[in-house]
Parts: sequence; structure tokens; C-alpha cells
Amino acid sequence: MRTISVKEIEDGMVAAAEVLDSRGGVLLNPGDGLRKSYIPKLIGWGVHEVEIEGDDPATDAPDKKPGEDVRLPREMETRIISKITHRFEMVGDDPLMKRLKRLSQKHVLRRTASKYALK
Amino acid sequence: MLNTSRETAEVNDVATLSPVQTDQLKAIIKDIDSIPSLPSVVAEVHEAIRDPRVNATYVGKIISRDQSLSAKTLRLVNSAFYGFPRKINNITRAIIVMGFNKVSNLALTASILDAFKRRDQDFDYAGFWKHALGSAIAAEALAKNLKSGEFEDAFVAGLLHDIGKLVMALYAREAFAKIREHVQEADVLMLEAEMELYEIDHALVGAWLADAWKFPPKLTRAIRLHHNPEAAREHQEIIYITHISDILCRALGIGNGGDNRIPLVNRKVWNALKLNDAVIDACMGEIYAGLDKAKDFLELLN
Repeated sequence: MRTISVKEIEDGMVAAAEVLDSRGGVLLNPGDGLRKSYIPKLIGWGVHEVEIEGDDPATDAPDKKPGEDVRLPREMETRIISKITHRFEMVGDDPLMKRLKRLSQKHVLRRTASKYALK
Repeated sequence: MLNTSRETAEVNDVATLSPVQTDQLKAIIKDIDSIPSLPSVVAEVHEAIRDPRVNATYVGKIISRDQSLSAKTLRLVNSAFYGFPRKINNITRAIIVMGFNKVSNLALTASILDAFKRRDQDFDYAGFWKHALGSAIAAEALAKNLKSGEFEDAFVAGLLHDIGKLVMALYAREAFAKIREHVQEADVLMLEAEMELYEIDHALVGAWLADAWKFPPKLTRAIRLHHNPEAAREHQEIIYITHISDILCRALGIGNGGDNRIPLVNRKVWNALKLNDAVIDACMGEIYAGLDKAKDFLELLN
């Protein structure tokens, strides 16, 4: 699973998480196929990033943020995700909280990965 | 000695404790008279900067009268967090470079640090201040990204939003221990545990202190309403920013907010601030970047 900018959507990609509009309405569900033609519509709905299935093929992309190209050990990643899931457990059904959870998960994993890479 | 009468709270009705709340406060803080009073210099500074005719030299002289306070304020000013290329050696210079509000807020922060020093080994001071600093950076990042007029005060509102927890940890030890025990056992928000056990929460305790210490009204309100922003009738923007900054830090697990849960973000606040994923994404990145720069600031807090 990885997060990409809406503008990077290619035909055949698959959403790995719900895609929500700026008011929290569900536009796409996990497993839904993505198409390039969705890009202007998604931007119009206030969507800037989507999570898609699969690993990042371009690990040496020059514009990567620290930690973005580092793969954490699976058990470490699982531990972080389960901690965040627990934190959001009581409020996880709220559409805004779903978005916050997705964003915080992305940042915490990236931050941990950048520290892990320095070890 | 702090005045617990409601006369002190006339400036801010939402921070005013009702007689019932005053009784509840006194029930958990047995020795309320032992809580330190506002240093007279800070009160004078707050008063002085409300006068539009006042100048940096005048305010600098007031702060400099208290040598310990001015030294501590300058240590905060000169921390790598602010990244000034050259050392700022006096308060007047700091005011010229940073502005009245920033310097008086830092003087207030230095006074709080002095008055509420580490005493209870059971309390996670480092975690408390890391959460506070993360919230301060988040509040400033939000204010910047939203082009808010609250940019100067957002930092201190984030930094002191949970000050009630510190007051309770130091002066309501028995009640605070029970609250923490309940948080652990029931795995609930600290706020919920406080209300369930004592019908008073850290936001109210913090606002009571802020009021007694004559914090600027907007800061008192941000402390009082950070969990209940919808009740804000004035200074909504800084209250809303403080509400969101606390939640962003909890979402990222920065420091110790006292529990392992996250409060629900207020939808009205989200819409009023016109928040979207791009702003939150940018702010989350800035929180980490800010924390990396603020290591020495955090050491001063501890």
C-alpha cells in the first residue's frame, strides 16, 4: 500500500483505502479501480492524495521525503499501525477521523522509517 | 496566594467557576493557597502591552527588573527553535525582533516553568511538555497555513492548553492518581475519567489558573474550551486552532496527552477553519520538522 498524489493516478491502479471528499463522503471504496479520467473529478471533490495497492516501484525517486523509501520491518510496521488503530478505535467511524487516521499513519510510518534508516 | 473568588474572572465569563465548580476544585486541590501567584512583572507586562503607545524599551525595562525571569526568557528566545543568527542579549532587542506578544508570551511561559517545577516523580513531565510543544508547533503551523491573524498567539495557546493537568499533577495528587488509574483501567480519555470521577476537568482547572494569573482573555478561553470549542463566543479562531492542534499531536502520538485515545474532531471547527487534507498533511510534516528544531527548547521546558 502506498500514498500517491491524485495527479499520479494511472489506469488500472486499485484504491487501498476509502477515498473521501472534503466533507467526509465516501467517493471510492477499497478495491475500487482507478482511472486517469477520475483525476479532475477527484480534485474537484477536494481529494489530493489516494492510497493505492502495491509497493512503490520507484524507490529512487528524487523528490522523496525522508523515510518514504525505507521499508520498515513488517512487525515494526504492524506494531505502529495497531497502536494508531487503538488510538482511533472509539472514533474511527467518523469520516473526518478516518482521514486524520490515514494521514497520521502515513506520517508516523514515514517518520519512524527515516529514523530507522539512520540506525 | 491565589484568589478563588469569581471577581477575578470577570474578564472571561467562560473561565468563571460556578460556586459548585469552585467547591469541586477545592475538593481535589486541598491546599489551594499553596499554588504560586502570578509574578508581578508578568502582570505588569500584560497590562503594558495593552497600551498602544507603549514602546519596546519600556516593556523591556519591566521584564529586566526580574533578572531571573529575563534570563529564562532570553534562553527561550535564543533556543535553536527560533534560529536567530546572532545571540539576542537583552529583552528590548528581543521585543524589537520578535514583537511584544511573542516576548510577553515567552515571559509567561518562563514564569509557568518556574512556578510549576518538577516535583512528582510519578508524573511524565517529559511526555507532558513534548505533547505541549508539539501542540504549540502544530498551532503555529495551522495558523500559518490558514493565514490566521492568531499567528503570534497560537504557539503559546498550544503550549499551555493542558496546563490544568500540570496543576492537578502537582496540587491535586490524590485525585490525579485516581484519574490516571481510571484512565489505565477503563482505557478512556483523561477528560472522561476526570468528569466521571470529579465532575471537573483539566480544561476548567487550567482556565481557573489562567484567570487567576491574568493570562490574556483569548489564551484563557483557548485553555478552557480546547475540548469544547463549539461553546466559544469570542476568540473562536485561536480556540479552534488549539482544539485541532491538540488532536493532531494525539493523532501522531507526540508526547503524552495522559491517555491512549483521541478525542473527536469538532466538525463545526473543521468547516469553520476550512480545513482539508492538504492543510493537515502540511501541518503534520511541519510538526515533526519543528520538533527536530526544538530539542533545546524542550530541554528548557523540562
